[in-house]
Amino acid sequence: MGNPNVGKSALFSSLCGVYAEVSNYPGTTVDVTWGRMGPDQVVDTPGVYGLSDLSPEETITRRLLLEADVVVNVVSATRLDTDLFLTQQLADAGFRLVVAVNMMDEARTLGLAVDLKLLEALLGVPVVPVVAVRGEGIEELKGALDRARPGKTTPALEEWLAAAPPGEAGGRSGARERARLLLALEEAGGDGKPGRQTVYRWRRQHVDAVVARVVGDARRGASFGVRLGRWMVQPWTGLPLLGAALWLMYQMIGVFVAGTVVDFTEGTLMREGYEPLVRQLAGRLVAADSAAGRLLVGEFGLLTMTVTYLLGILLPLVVGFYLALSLLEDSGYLPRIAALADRVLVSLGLNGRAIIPMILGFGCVTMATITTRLLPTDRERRIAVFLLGLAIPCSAQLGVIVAILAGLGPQYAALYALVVVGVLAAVGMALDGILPGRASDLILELPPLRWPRPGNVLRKTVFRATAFLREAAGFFAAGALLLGALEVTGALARIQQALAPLVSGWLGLPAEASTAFVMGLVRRDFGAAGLYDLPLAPFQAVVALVTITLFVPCIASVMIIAKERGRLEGMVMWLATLVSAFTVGGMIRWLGAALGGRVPAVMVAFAGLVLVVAWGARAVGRQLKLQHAVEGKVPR
Amino acid sequence: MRLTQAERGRALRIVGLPPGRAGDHLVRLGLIEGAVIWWEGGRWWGPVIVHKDRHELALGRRLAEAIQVEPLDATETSVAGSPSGERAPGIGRGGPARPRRRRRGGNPLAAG
Repeated sequence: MGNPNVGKSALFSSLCGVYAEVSNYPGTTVDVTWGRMGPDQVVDTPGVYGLSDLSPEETITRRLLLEADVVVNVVSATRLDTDLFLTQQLADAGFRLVVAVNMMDEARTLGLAVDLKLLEALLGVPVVPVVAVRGEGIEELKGALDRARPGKTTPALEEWLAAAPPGEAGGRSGARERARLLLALEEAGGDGKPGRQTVYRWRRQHVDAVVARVVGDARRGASFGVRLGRWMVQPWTGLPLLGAALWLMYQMIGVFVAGTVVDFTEGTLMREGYEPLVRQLAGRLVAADSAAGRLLVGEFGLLTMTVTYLLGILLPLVVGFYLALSLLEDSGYLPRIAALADRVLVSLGLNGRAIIPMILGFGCVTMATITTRLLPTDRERRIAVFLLGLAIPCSAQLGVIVAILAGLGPQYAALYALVVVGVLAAVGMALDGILPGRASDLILELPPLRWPRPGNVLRKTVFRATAFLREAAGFFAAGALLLGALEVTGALARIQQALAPLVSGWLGLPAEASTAFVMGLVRRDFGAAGLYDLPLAPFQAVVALVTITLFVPCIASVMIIAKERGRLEGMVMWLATLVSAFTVGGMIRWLGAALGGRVPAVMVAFAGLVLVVAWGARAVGRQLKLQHAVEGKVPR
Repeated sequence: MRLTQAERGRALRIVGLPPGRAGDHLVRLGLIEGAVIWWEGGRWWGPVIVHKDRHELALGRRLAEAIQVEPLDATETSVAGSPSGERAPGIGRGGPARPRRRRRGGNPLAAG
């Protein structure tokens, strides 16, 4: 266990040989991972700054620690002043400890000299230097586990304990009992007890004194990395840098992968190579126009459409996106984007940290929904989960959308972006206005910028792409079978007919687009892929893309949303996204019709509508909160 | 003065933290009354970026408003050392970076 972003997961992987995701931002691990090292069970905990009750992760970690025989506390050699606070809390609580000082290589690069022998003497527990990502020091760490012991306590705390009446702090009645009592002591002050504020200050002063003795600093000037890191968080330099990063991502995914690579994989490899071959082989077993033949190799065939969509279109896009995302994660750029986005996200009832699940949502909404746990309050998690489910397209869907938009031209792409961002902003502002409470304060550590490690980037990309295939294949196959069955029985035509007023009448799309929305009920990317081959005019394409973007989240995401937020809230979110998708899609269509299809005029009109809705909801929310505050029900 | 009112690159001493959880969390991260920090940005927009010892922190504006600081004078600043060896504006003409000076004797740890 240890603070966020100190390399716990890398160390866990080295100790147990189990893959755990490693990134350069606080909050990579929001769950508990279990592994084995010989006969012993090893637990990788989420990053925490302490064992108090300042976040749910701290409560979970504390509970796990009370059951542990030995605690391996991972600290970063580059920021011992922050990390040793937790170490000292563990020592004060009497846990049997070994301290793994990670990132020794980075400390050397930064010109920091850490006196590990002195640190060991001052803490009173074994201290082992490691470079977890390279597996250095792991055997030494394993060897040190037998020497784990309780460390030296904070002098001022020890003095208070010595002077306290018997029973006040639990005396020395067993390590676990002492840990429980000491941790409880920090939570409640008064009554002659020092309380959290006082204990924290004693501990902080002690840790600062330890660090002053063990860390020697021989740095010379600010490196380019430090200066670049600062430019990234200043608006005047940060926004152009963010624009440049997004442009590079677009070139990589939207132009190269969606264009060159998908043309080859979908066109040459699948449509010209694979599909004729599989039709020929299937033709030997069943007639192509029989029901079984249509189910297997027909328009929605299990062996044709499913495989082509999955491997020919979506897999290259997913790999391209995860590669870009892994580069961002490994470099330490994500927390800087979070700092840059804080001011904007505060108006949506979130703080800057929420940009991390939002960006991860562009990879996979399911994964990002779990990552919302890094947000500090339930209110923020609720807003973030809803916005993720509503307006963040996952990598596979985004890839298809980018590929379609690339063929429409910049003004249609701008209209699409404005509508989706506008809906995100309006809904966020409305939720912020209506839900009780307010956005929590941002306190975010900005890790040093690093060159992404190619091995980690590749491993993470392969791991995530494989997970995508594993998760999506079953849903795609089931979706294809369902569509095939609907087509064979003639039900698809009837559904298209039934949806005609909505799809053709309201959205102005051809009747065949209904099929994409039926597919979208299974997965949005499946639905988006269904739009890929549909002949649509540019304005129709934007309406279809907006609707499928705001469409219901995929089944896996819905299940996770229900798990994270409860079934009722999950159901409300699902229905709300469905209604929003068709409402906004139709609005764009009718605005376009009313304004003669002039894209700039539609953009201005839509932006105006969004502002009216957002400010209206905020005004109503403010009034409600004011009323509740007067009645003493809810804090303002 | 409030942390949001500081000048870029200025060395500051923390004199007051907000009460409650946010203040407690700041103490865990090393921001305690008496600690020296460097203001790196965020006067007009977004969170305030501060530098302490070897790491940078982004603090939301509302929180930064609640943190009271006082600017260090030139003598104190040169003792505290610039966060990254850069010349600090507002404290004279600067010059080559000075290495951070560490106390070697009379450490409070000796008593513990």
